[in-house]
Amino acid sequence: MEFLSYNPLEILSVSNILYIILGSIVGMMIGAMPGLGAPVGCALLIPLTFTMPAESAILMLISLYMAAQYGGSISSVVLGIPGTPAAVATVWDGTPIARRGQPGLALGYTLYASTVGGIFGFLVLVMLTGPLSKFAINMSDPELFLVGLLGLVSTFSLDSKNPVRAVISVLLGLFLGTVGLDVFTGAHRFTFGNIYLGDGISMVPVFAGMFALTEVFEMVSGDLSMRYVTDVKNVRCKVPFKEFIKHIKAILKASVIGTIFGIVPGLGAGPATMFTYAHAKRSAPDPEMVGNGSPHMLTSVEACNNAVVGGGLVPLLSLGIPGTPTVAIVASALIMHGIHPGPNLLTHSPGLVYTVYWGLLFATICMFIFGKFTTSVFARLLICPNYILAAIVIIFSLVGSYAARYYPIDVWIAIIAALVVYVLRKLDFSVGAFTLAFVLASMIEEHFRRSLKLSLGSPMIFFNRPLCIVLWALIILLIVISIRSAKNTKSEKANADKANETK
Amino acid sequence: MSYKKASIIVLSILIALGIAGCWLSIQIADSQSGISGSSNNFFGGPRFYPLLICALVVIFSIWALILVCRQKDDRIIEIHHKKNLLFVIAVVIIWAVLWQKVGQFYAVSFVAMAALLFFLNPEEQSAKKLLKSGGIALLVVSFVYAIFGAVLRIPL
Repeated sequence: MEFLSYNPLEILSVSNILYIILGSIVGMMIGAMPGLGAPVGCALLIPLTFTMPAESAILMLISLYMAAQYGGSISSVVLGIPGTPAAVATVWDGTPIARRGQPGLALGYTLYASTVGGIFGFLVLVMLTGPLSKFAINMSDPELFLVGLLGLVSTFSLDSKNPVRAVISVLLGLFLGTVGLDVFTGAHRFTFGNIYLGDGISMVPVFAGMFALTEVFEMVSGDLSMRYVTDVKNVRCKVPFKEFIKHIKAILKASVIGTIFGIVPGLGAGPATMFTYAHAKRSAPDPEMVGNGSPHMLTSVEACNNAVVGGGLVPLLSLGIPGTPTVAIVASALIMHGIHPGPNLLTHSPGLVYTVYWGLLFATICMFIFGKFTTSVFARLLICPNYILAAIVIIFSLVGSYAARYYPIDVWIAIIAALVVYVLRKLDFSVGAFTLAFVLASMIEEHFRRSLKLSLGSPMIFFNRPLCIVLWALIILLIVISIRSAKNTKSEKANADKANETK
Repeated sequence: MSYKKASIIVLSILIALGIAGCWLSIQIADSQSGISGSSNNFFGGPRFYPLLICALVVIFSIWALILVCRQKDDRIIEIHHKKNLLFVIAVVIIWAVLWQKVGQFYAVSFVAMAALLFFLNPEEQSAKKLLKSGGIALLVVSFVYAIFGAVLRIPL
């Protein structure tokens, strides 16, 4: 805890405060734009950091990262378009609350939960950098594959009413992740000679199509003159403290999950929020509200989302390994300033490390302050009648899909994803399971194949390591729980149908 | 359309796609296939994993198809205001085609948005409605230009 002897006010020079504010504002705006997100924001701002001191550069980029995580939630809640892949789970419960005429409440939950998650991430970063990094580095390919598998199995709890279709949804998500150049051999897989597909299918157009455009299709099938918000008071970012504190236990649990996923390299916020969603669903006090505007679910995923930021910095500072793609860009900014993150950083440049610690805390506070005052501006979009909202969502979805990689094919991917998912949703396929599988697809395949290469093709590599056995036990437990839950749901439905018949 | 009928059609398509996927997976070029004594290369190679996934898609789709065929109850999938839905899908597709063939994203977007707003607005047809649609479309496209074009310099 030597960092407590480091005066945090030393980093709060006027210029550093301005950089934190700039990073926060830009991060929130960029996070809210579908198709962009923290990695894009960091990449856009890196040229600005060339003339800055390293500490200022780090402060600005961390502020941007933290604010972008919350910013992704703004478009998720207000427009139903996930601003970032990590904000997908926010759409499921944030949008319904907004559609009930309370976007300010939904955004309030996301902001407060994000702030708690961010502070939790800061505490983890400070207290556990050393020990947790050593543990994370012990996880090799077989363990990481099983963590991915655990995540996939947890999707059955996202949809226990139709497990076979949930499995098919998972497989479709995994399949979509195989499109493109094979990461090991460079072989073209399912690209059909298209050079753009060689880079694989980006998550951004798929999610823009799956969530935003399908939402438009639902909207135009309903009352187009309807306005989700009629009372302007409801767009203010406001949550009664008593209401928020009810969910603090879930928020803290989700923050733990988020930091763990941030610490383990290669996981990140996308899988973290999906895993948290599945976990939080099981402990939801209002199961009938899950997916229909449950504050428990919304606060859980948002806290997790922002806790990943602190977790992602842990392996960077202690081992030089970025925990998430955005942290990799932050690392490149450090390297450009001649600072090489790694085990020696804390001994050679403790001031920089402590700057990161305090910078994360200040970035979280800045995100909260700006979020409180600017969120209502975004929320006012919902005062528009549905036919205007539908048109706005369409243009932002298409532009967002294109903006991710500048590939024309991404626009078509968004449209095709929208049409396919619209049909599959009507037939009870699980969009949640598909989403999780797609997010985890490349990670699962990479670790699976590398494990088999290491073991010369023997599958025993997934069974003869102690941590693997623990993970298998968790997987089996989760399957058993899901099957029992599905059976209980089925028998409850059968009893309810019988009761209705006798009436 | 009946839920059962739609499920049978979709699952049949998935089975066909799964089989096609298996066939395409086998065709994937493997640069290491020439290395002798490398049976493990198949499992670690680029073909095995997509082949496994596609095979599982076929198996589970057949399972789901059997469950659907044995299902006794059925329901109708309702889609209201089909005309609106088809119009939106058509506009989005034409928008994407024109964007790529003609370029001029902002002009094409203005026209497409104005058309969407005019058609979807449930108010009665009038010159006021036309002006309103045009005005809103102009505002939105200008905002998109301000953010994506001017600030972020994304070439649309």
